Amino acid sequence: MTQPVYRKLTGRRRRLTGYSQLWMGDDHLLLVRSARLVENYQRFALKDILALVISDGPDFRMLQALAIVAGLGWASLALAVSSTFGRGFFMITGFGVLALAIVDIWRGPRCRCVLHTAVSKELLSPVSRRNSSWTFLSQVLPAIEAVQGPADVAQLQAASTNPAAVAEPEPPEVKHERSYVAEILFGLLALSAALVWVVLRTSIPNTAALLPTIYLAELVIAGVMVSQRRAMNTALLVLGILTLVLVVADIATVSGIAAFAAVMNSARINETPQELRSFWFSNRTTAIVATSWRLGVAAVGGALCYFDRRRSHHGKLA
Amino acid sequence: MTPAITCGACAWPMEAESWNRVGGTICPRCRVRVDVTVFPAMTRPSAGALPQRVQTETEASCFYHPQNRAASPCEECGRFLCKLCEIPLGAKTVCPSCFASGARENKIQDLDHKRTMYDSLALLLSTLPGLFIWPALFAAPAALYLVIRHWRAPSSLVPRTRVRYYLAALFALAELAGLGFVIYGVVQVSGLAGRVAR
Repeated sequence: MTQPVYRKLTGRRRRLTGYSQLWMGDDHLLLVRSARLVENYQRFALKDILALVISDGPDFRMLQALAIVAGLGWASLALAVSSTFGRGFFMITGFGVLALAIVDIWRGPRCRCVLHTAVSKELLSPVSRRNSSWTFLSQVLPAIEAVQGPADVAQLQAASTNPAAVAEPEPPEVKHERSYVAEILFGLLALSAALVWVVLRTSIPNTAALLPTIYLAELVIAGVMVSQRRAMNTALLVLGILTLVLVVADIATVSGIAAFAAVMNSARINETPQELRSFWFSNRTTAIVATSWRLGVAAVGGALCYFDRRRSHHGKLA
Repeated sequence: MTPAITCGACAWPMEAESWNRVGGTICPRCRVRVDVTVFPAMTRPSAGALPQRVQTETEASCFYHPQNRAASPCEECGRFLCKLCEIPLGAKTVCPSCFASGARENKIQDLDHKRTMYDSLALLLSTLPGLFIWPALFAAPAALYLVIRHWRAPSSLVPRTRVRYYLAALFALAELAGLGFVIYGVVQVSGLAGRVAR
């Protein structure tokens, strides 16, 4: 059994559990899907390829800009802490996020490449960027044309006049149902408002240790809510973005670095517990600010969610 | 009827006018830019060839369909095949039975769709259990066994070096040597302790 010679077409599209990659054989494309310990192969004969469709992928420019700002902000916190460990931690993680965002921008806009045969449509996941898709096409098109002959566009259009496209019934409109992530976020904000008040104004032990967890949960859920923008109405989306901004800004107020420093300090033996307060306000004002914005956003968000659900329920009934 | 070419983002059928256009086109539904490259295979008739009936007794007939005229022989077993039974496989034509057995026994290169990466497995066995020290006592020999057993076995279909095998063997031998040293040290110390106690 002779081993066929393959030429690399694309880089590896890495995932947590493996990667996928495209290779060019003598008369076929080979899609390799690796699960680390096992490789699965899919072949597409060049003579059977009907079309290659490359569409623009989702636009992540806003998230990229946000990641750069967040990375810079996070790294700049190194200036606010005194310990060497703290400085190293914030510098490494902040610049790590920054580097990831820059690499993502440098790789170019995303795309989806779908290969059509007479019997299947296969997503070529290794072709995931517009820049790499041109390189891919420049290598694949001559190979396919060498097998099938040059494509005469007029002849192709005349031969098909695409009756399938005309005869195809219109697909139903995909309606993005809103998930419950907004309700979860505003519920969490109400809960964390109470917690923040307890931490700042009472002396119940170990409650401060919960603050970084709550902060992370707020950050993640607000991010998820903003990422589901297609299903959100405008008011909820604006409130989601505002929440995300407030959560990120709150890092200097109470939940983030201030809480982290207080927790780390309280863990040290023979040291007086550090007072948990913002960089700017007194302890009492910190508590009022951190609690009140959470309560305010939770109340407004809860009301918006309620009216949105009621409206969509009436819409369904109608 | 030609198959519908659809937008990669929303699966909306793309009109023939949008095919092979320089600079692409905008999907009428999801409004993203789509580059549609269509090839001549699109206009190729997709219906399979129909077998012809045997007309006279002297004509060769298909092994599987005696009423059909033979069109070609199987290049694996030599049986005569009609148009229905011949399976083109690269440059060869094979019968359904050879195709099935070839696929089952992994003899046909073009049907090989899955391979186990024994080099990665050996490397995993030689590294991960080593972090927990004692599991390496079993995992390192297993890794060495995999390296020796599958050294010549076909690896990936695409080019791949043997560096994982070398590393796996190196780590496994180092772990075994280290464990042997530790066991020897424990035995020596316990023996010394016994002598002191006596």
